[in-house]
Amino acid sequence: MSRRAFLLGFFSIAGQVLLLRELVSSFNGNELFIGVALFGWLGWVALGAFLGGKKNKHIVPGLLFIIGGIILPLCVVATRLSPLVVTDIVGEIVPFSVAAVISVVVMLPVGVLSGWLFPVLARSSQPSAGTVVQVYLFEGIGAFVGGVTVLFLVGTVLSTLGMALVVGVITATSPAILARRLNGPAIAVFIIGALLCLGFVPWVSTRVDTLVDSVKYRSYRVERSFDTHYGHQAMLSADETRILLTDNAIEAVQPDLSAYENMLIPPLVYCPEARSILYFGRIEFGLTQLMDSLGMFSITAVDPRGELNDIVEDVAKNSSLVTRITSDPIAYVSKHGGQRSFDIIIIPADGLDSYQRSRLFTGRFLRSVKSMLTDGGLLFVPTRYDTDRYVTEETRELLSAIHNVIAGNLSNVTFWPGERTLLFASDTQLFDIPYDSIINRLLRLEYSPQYISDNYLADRLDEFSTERLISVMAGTDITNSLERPRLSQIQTWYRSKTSDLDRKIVSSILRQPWWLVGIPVLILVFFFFTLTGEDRSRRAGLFLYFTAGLVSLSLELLSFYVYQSMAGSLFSEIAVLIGAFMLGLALGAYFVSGSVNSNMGCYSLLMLLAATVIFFATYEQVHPHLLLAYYLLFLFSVALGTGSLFVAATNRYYGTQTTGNRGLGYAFELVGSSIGALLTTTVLLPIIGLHWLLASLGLVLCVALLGSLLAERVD
Amino acid sequence: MKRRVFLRCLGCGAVATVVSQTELLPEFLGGLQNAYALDFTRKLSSVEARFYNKLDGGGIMCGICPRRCFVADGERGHCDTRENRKGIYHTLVYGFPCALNIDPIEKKPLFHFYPGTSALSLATAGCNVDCKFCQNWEISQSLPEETNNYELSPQAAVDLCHQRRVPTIAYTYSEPVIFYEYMYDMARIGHEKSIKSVMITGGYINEKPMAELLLQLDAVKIDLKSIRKKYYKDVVRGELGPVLKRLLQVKKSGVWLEIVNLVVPTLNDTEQEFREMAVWIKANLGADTPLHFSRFHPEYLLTNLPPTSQKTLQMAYDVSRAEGLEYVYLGNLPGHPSESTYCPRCGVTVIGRSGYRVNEINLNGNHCKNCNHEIPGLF
Ligand code: SF4
Ligand SMILES: [Zn+2]
Repeated sequence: MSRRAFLLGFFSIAGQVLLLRELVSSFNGNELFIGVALFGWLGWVALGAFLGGKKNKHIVPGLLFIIGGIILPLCVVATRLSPLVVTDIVGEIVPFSVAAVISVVVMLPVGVLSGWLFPVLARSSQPSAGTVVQVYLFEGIGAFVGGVTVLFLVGTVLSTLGMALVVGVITATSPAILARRLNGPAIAVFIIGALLCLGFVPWVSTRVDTLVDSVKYRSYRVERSFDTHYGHQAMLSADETRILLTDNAIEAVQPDLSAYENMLIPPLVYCPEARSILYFGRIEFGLTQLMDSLGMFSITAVDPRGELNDIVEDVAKNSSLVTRITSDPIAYVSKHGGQRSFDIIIIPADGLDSYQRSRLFTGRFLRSVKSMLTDGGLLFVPTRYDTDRYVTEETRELLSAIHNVIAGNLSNVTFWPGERTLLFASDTQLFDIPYDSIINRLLRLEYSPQYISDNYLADRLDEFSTERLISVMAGTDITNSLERPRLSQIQTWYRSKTSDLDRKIVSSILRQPWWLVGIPVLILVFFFFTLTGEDRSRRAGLFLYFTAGLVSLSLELLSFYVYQSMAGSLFSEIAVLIGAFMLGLALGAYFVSGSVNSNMGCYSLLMLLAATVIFFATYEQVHPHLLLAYYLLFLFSVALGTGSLFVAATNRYYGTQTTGNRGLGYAFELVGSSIGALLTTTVLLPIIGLHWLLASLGLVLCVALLGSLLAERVD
Repeated sequence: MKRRVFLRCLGCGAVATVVSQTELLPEFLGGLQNAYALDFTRKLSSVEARFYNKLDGGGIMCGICPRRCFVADGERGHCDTRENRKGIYHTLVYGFPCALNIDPIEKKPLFHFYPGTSALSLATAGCNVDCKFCQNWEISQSLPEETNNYELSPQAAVDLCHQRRVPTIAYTYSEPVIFYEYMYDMARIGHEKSIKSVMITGGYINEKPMAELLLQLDAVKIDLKSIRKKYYKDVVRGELGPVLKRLLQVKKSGVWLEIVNLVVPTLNDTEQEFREMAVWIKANLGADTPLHFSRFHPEYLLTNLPPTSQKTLQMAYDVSRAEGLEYVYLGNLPGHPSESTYCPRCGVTVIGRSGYRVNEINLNGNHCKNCNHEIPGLF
C-alpha cells in the first residue's frame, strides 16, 4: 500500500503541476486564473475522495493508475488545443470566464482520479485511522519526489507535454511492477520497455509540440516550439515577420520599428549623454538593431530565460554593445543594488496582470533600481496604455498606480501621452525643456527616428492630450506595493472589458468586495455546526481538517508570493521550497502518527499560529542572503504543523472506527485548500493586504484552537 | 504655479513634474478649466433620439443603423448609447463626448481635405458593430456612464473651434453613427458658423439618416473593412451590403469621400482580396477615390496577432495601383513614398507629407501646378 500511496503522490502532484502549467501557457493565465484552476483541481480531488471513500465503491487501484497514466498526456494536448474550440480566429484571445471554465473541466479527469485513489488505498489494507495517516504520509513523500522532479525537468530537459508522457508511462506501468505477480524476467522486460519509451519521449514530444502549435497557429510557420521553466515559447514566421510567442501571447515582433523606437529613443531626449542602459526584458527583437544604429551605448538586458538566447540568435545577430544577463530582475537588482552604473534604466510595463511583472512596480524594487542609477540618471517606463485620444477609467487607475509608486521614490516624474504612454522619472530636474529642444536633441542622434520625430510628436505632445492625462490622474492615491499588490488586479479589470461576462465577474468580485464578509460568516457557521450535536467531539475533527487545508495552502501561497517579490522567481529555489513543504507534511504526519496524545491538535494549531505570527513580525527584516533559509524554515514549520494537524484531525474524526467514508476528512482538508487557493493571493491580497490576511489566518487558527479545547472538555 | 509656466511645460511634455508637486495641482488645474471650460462628468443626456418607431407594448424599433434594434421599455439598444424610457427613445451621449482632441486632418486620415489643417475630433462611448480588432476598444466597449466625459454642447464645440482657430469638426474614433443626433446638430450649427464637419465612420448606417446627415457634412471617410461578406460576419459582426450602399450614396451626394482599409494580418491581407476591393472601388466610385491602407496594431480581442508588415502593405499598394486607383496611401509608414499625393498625369508631388506634417503643396486651387491636371478633393 505504501508504494502505491507513493505512486499516487507522484502522479497527483505531477498531474496538478503539469496541467496548471499547460493551462497557464495556453490561456496566458495570471494568479487569478491559477487560483481558479487550482480551486477546480482541489474541488475535483475532494469529490473524488468523497466518492471513492463510499463503502460500496470497489475499484482496483492498478486500473485507476493505468487510466490516469493514459489520460494525463491527453489532457495536456486537449488543453493546448482548447483555444481553437472557443475562438474562430488565430490570435484571438480567450476571455477569462471561458478560460476559467475550460481550466476546471480539464482538471476533472486527473483530479477526480487522484482523489478517488486516496480512500481506495486507505481501505486496501486494515481500515482504521492509521491507514489514512499512512496513505497521507507516503502520498506526501511521493508528492515531494514528483514535485521536485517535475519542477527541475520541465523547461530544461522536457517540455510540459514530454513530462506528461513520462509521468503517464511511469504511472501506467508501475502498478504491474508493484503488483509483484511478475517474475524477474517479466519485470526486466517491463523496465526496459519503459526506459525505451522514456528515451523516445523528448524526440516525440518536440515533434508533437511543434505539430500542435502548427495546428493552433495555422496561418504561420512554426519555427520552434519549446518550453522554459517559465512557460511555453513558440517562434512563428510569416513573410518577413518573426513572432516570439510566450504562453500563447505575442511577446515580441520583428520588424516593429514604432514599438522599438518608443522603447529606446524617448529617454535619450532627456539623457542625451547616456552611455549605459539597463533593460529588463528581451532585447533581440528590434532593439539590438536600433542600438547598433545609435552606436554609442552599451546595454545590459536582464531576462531569466537563458534558454531563449540561442533560439533568438538568428533574429538578432549578437551585438557587441549588448550584454545579456540570465537572471530574474529582482534577483539581479538585489545583487547589484547600490552600484551606480547605469544612466538609463528601462522597465517596460508589460504583463502587469501577473505578480511576476507587476512586482517590479513596488517601492521596494524601485528603491533598489534607483540605487543603480548614476547621478542625473533616468528611469524610463514604456507602457502599452493608450492615452492618445482618451483616458479611460481603467487606464487612469493603472497609470496612476505606476506613477504614484515611481513618484514615491524619484522626485521628478513626467510622461508622454500617446498610443504607448511613456513615463520618465529622475531625481535630477531633466524634464523642464521646451519642445524645440526635444526636437533638436532628436536631430543630434546618429540615427534619425521615424516615429519619435517632429512629424508625430507635435501631435502626440499637444496640450489636449497632455492636459487630459494630468486632469484624470490628479488626486488619485492608488498605489502598488508588496504588502498590497493592486496593479495586477486593476490590469485584470482593464482586460475584462473584452468580454461582457468577464466584466460582470471581475467587477462584482474585485471591485465590489462586500461579499468578503460572507467568508468569516461561513467559517463561523461551519465552526458552530461542528460544535453542536451528540458527536461534536468527533465532528470537531472536520473543522481541524478544514483549517489544516485553508491555513497551510494560504500560508504556502503567501510565502511564495513574498519570497518571489523579495528574491525573484527563481525556479530551482521554488522547487526546493515546495520540496521542503511536502517533506514537512510527510514528516509532520509521520512523527505524530503513533501518538495518542489528545492535545496533539492544539499543539499543531499553536505551531501554525506561532509560525504565522513570527512571519508577520519578521518577513520584512530578512537579510537578502538569508531569504532562502528563512522561507525553508517557515514553510517546513507550517508543513510540520499541517501534517501533525491532519493526523490529529484523523484521530479525532475516525479514532478506531472501522466504518464510514474514508475520504471525507481528506475531502474537508481539500475544501479548505481550495478556498485558500481561490481567494488568498488572487482576491484577498490586493483587497485587504498581506498584514490583514495574515491576521485573518491567525484568527482562523485561534477559532480552531478554541474549538479543539471546547471539544476536549466534552470528552 | 502660473498658467503660462504650465502651458510651457505642456509643450515639452514635462508635466508630471507638476503632478508630483501635488499641492500645486488645484491651482494649476483650476487655471486649465478656466482656460478651456473642460471638466469631466459621468452624467448622461436624455435627448430624444431620431429615426425610431414606437411599437405596441412600449417597445421601439431604432432606425439609425441596419441593426434596427427592437428595444423594450427600460432597455438599451445594441450600441448601449440609446435607451427606451417609457416608449420614448433617448440618446444618452448627446453633449457628452469621452474623447476630445485637436488632431491634424491627416490623422483621420483625410488626405484630400484641406491638407495641413486641424480638426476638433470627438467621440462618445459605444459602437454599433463589434470588430474584433477595434483600435478604440477602450471606449467602444464602454458604457457611456463608465467613461470620463466632457460636457460639451454642439454650440460649445463650435465655439471651441473658433476660439482655437480650428476649421473643422471630426466625428471620429469610435463610431459617430451612435451619436447621430449630437453629430447632426453640431454639423448644422457648425455650418451656420463656417465650421466644416467630417464623419469618420464604418458606414454601417441606414440610408435615410445618412441622407439627412450628408446635407450637413463636408467629407466622409468610410472604413471599408473588407470586400468579403464573411469577414464582416465573422470579424466585424456586421454586414457588408449596407456599407457598400453607403459608399455609393456618399459618392452620389457629392460630399467628399475617402476610404480606409485596415489590413489585419492573416484575416484580410491576401492579394486577391486587395484586388477585388480595388476593382470594386474603381468600377463603382471611380479611380480617383482615395484609398488608404492602414496598419493593424494588436488590440482588443486580437492582441495575439502581429502588426501588419510593411511587405503586406506594399503589396496592397502595388495591387491597387495596378488596378488603376490613382490615389493610394499607406498609413503610418514614415518615409514611405505612399505618404504623399502625386499628380496622376505628370507624377509630380502635389502634396508632400511626412507623418502628420504637410511639407509641400504644389496646387493651384484643385490643379497640379506642373500640368494643371485636376486633383479631386477640397483644398
Ligand atoms: S444605432 Fe444603436 S440602437 Fe440604433 S439600431 Fe444601431 S445599434 Fe441599435
Ligand atoms: Zn501634374
